Amino acid sequence: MSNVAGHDQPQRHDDDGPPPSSLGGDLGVLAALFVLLAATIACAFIPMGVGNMIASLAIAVAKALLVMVFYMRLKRDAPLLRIVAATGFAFLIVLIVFTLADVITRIPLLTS
Amino acid sequence: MNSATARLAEQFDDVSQQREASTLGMWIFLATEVLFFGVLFAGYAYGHLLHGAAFAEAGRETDLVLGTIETSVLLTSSCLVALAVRAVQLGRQRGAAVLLLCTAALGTAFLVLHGFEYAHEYKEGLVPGLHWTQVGPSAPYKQLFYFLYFSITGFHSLHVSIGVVVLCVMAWRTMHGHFGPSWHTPLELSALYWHLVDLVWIFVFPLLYLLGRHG
Repeated sequence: MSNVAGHDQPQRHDDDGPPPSSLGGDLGVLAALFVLLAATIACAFIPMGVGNMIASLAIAVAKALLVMVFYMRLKRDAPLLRIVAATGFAFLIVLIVFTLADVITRIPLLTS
Repeated sequence: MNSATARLAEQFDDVSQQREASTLGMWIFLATEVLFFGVLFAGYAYGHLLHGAAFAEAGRETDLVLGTIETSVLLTSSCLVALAVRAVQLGRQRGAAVLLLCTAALGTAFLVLHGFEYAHEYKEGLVPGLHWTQVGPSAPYKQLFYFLYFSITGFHSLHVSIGVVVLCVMAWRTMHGHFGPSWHTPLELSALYWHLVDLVWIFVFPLLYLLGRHG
């Protein structure tokens, strides 16, 4: 674990975290994000009922995963970070699901 | 200046452990940010479930063109900041500083565009509490939508503003040789923060701007 540094050598050290990303990879992810942006706008204009919300959210999740996996380097950084990131979203799902579970089961009481 | 060992705080065994602790701390902070915005999104889910038609009607009145441009701006800025981290890792500090300044400029452009959007909504009488001129049976629920719209985009813009300041500081520090291939943790963490701003917007855009477009 030598940390000889101070000179701007392009070589990396073991303790630097993930290696530099590839230029093509980063630009490829951006291109994919723009394709998904176009797709989500196109889907929004097609009447699909509840399918519109599902398509919107599915595309948003795909875009978010691209950003997290590649730009935020979850793919190549320490596995612990993937657990922390997943935990944040897991609690978000708990929050929304339990809120909606309450609302959905309460409506019949209100209207009866 | 960019020596990794010189930056080693005494509580850590080595630079590797220090970097891991810093990155872990940042990700835990980002998880709390997800929940911060999550509460607003949960409110949105509640409103959408109970008053879907009014929400769709209100969603149609948001500015789709500006929203799309803002989304493109943020997606591009995320790519630029990822490239800035890459440039520092490859020892190209000057290029990294330029990329960081471009990212900050895109963030500023986002805020200016949002300012135009808010001004337009004010004129249209779509700002609950300040200037609300909507009438009709769905108006109270549209007000709920616009309350959420301004809360979510307002807090998001606050995050963008903080991000722009942080990116400018990082550009200045990169310019002055504070970071190099062996040590650039603050830059990495700032980039993570900026990506979070992008992540939030990725969900804001379909939920607020694309809602009810086919109706």
